[in-house]
Amino acid sequence: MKKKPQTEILPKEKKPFGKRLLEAGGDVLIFFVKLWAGFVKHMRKWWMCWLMILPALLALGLFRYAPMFGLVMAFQNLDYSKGIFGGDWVGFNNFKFLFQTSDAWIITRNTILYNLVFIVLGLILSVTLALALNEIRQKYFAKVTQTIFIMPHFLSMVVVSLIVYGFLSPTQGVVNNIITSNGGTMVNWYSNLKAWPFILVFVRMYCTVGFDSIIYMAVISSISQEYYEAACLDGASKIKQIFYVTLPQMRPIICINLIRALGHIMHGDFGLFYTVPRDSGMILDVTNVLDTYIYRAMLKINNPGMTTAAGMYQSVIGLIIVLLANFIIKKIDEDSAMF
Amino acid sequence: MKNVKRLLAVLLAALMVFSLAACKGGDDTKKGDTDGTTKIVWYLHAVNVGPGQQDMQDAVNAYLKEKGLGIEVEFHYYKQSEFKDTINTIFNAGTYMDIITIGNTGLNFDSNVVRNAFLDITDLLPKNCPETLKMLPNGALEAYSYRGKVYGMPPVKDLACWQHLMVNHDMLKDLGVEFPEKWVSYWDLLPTVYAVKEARDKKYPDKANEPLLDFQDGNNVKKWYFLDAITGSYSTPYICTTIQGIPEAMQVKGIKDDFTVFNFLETPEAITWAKTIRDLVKDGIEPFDYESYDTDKYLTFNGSHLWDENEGNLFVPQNTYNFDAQIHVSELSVATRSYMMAGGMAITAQSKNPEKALQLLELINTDQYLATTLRFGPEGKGWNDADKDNVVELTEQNSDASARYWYCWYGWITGGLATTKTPGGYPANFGEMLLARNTSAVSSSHMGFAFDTTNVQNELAACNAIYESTYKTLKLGQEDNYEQIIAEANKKLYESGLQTLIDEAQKQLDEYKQTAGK
Repeated sequence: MKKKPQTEILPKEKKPFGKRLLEAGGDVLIFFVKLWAGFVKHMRKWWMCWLMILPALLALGLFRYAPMFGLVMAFQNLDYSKGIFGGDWVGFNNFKFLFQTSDAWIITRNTILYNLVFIVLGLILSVTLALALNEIRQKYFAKVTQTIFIMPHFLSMVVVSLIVYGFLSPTQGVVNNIITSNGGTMVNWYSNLKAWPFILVFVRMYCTVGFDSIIYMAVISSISQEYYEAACLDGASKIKQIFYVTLPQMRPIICINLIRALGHIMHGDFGLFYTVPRDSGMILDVTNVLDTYIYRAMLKINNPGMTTAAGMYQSVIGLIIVLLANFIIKKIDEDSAMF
Repeated sequence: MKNVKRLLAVLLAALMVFSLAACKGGDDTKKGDTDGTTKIVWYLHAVNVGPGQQDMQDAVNAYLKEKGLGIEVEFHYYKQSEFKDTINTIFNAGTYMDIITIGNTGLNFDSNVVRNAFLDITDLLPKNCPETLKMLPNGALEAYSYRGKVYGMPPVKDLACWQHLMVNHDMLKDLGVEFPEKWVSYWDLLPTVYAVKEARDKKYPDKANEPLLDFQDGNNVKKWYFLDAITGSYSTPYICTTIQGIPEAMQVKGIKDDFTVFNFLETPEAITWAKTIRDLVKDGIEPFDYESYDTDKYLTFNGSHLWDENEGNLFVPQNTYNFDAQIHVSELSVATRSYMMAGGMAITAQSKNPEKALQLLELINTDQYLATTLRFGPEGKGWNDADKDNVVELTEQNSDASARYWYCWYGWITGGLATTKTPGGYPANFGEMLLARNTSAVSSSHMGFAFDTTNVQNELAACNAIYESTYKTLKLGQEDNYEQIIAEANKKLYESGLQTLIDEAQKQLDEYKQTAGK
């Protein structure tokens, strides 16, 4: 058998280290020069857009990212003489107070359940409102109705709490006046445990539904009329048009809003849960959420480490839920996912 | 058109960028050394902040210049409620200040001392504030001590609790009821209150539904039992000790040892207190719906109430009220750490001029002209004292009670209350009366005890949250099930670590007792 001639493997020419370094440096330099050239080209074309978003970027950096360095306080005992980064490390000790209370379960339950109700009910009502407002053909009437619905969003919760109190005050309230003038017995609403879940949900919807519907109205108005015309030709009723044209077109924005809302699931609206029930102790089992607990707990202690820990806890849980929700939505409908 | 749009876009963007400049944090006031003077920055609060604040500050600075101390002061006055809400944020944000008012604010003195936020002024005080120290009662500095070092000082003011009532003698005369000559706490006054209610309802049946008292503050536990909370504030009296030297009848039954830490809500007295408040509401003496209370109809000052209650005053001029108001001061003055700290001040750790700051406080407490200017503004503009009788005559622009120019009577926050000239109606020896009452007060046995909560922060936070709501509910007296509320609160408190809190407090108190030789 004839042996295959062995191919000779020639050793590569070994370049001197200095030359190789120079070449590598040159590559890097070329990379950066290209990058710079690309940047300059990009900026020449888009500089005005960048200038426009510069304030937003600065604000985002200043108020959202720069403070993140302060998160270190969540794991330290703050010492003013040593500064923000100089305190003694205490591990997760600052987080303990969130779970120390016997009400930890009630607080977590209230925070999550209320938010879920707000998200689901808020979504249904604001979409319904947007659909309804869209159907109003009289322009003037539509504008007035829309303004009436949006106005409560701009009221401070303190004002809202006074409005609610005007209705529910034990001795002067409208509701009790109606009850007593019809021979009923006065109800002390601010100690009525069963009423408050409904009152809080109602107040929240009153404040948010109108404003939230704006974004859905914008989406509805951008849907091409051709879809509706085609549906009409196929004999679709108004309801069927809503279900088979409008809502599918709104799905991406609904999903994005849902993901955004889920990010705040561990945040309780402080104004709603503290100011509206007027800090009444008797209804705490249904009004105490994470934010009100943190406020009451920290009122006398003033511990920046513990408050940082609380904020971090809420944000981390929110982030996990956002990622999870986005993952699920992506599995169901990739186009509707946020990222 | 395209260029116009571009120009507009650039202008808009520039405007937005510049608007960010408004987000610049805090005051950049630093050491204000100009022509050899040192600027002292002081954050404090006042009941009323009038338009003459700048004039007052200018007058104070002109006077300081004249005195040649090389000090210039920059006041940052806030309304009291606003100060409570914002001072924590202002302080934690690192805003520069030399002096900070810590009394009656949201700032926790002890925890800030532990975090080295305030300067140790133990050695600086005798050198810079010798006269002030002479005016302070015994134990005053003990209240501001932590591990043997002094971190703050009280202003010269009323430093003990003496409750007082401005009693409506027109009403008493009309109804033929006598007011007790001597009284110590509200327990002594209950029979009189009920007697007045009965007589009024009989004589004026149409007023039977009108409340006789508007004393939600009077529902505080401290008005009924003199307890000394060791967490630094009376608003958290669930762990407290009694005060040495108080008549035994006033002490919580079964607690004879001043150094025993206990949970007030667990004592029978807590139920008695809650029941009494509830009864006062039920019997129509106090309003049921306090927040809907029609203050226009039942205004304290117009004579609808039996008394107007407060604490600290030794004298209130008759003309404040529209009825024959006579002051009745409790027989007992009590000095606890909480009271001693009510108007306290600290020099911040960041202060570049601590000695000058203390010298300023010394001057306010000892210089009559300065103390008076702080209260009524510049002489001539806010006040005059033509007959030099130590009683000021207010100028026209400072006389209208609804729109004062600058009127901080009695300005306890700044100190100098024993030195200042007084407004019309007050006795010229008001300062002497005040100092005498301070000296005669019964002192807490553990005035110098500061509870280091570092190891029990979580328990304290959890218990505070429960206590906050329970106490408010009981204080309003709206619920019949007060016993159940107290029982549930106690259950939750212990589940949240109250026992750990009590044990830690007891341990530290025992150590203090031993170290202080008490």
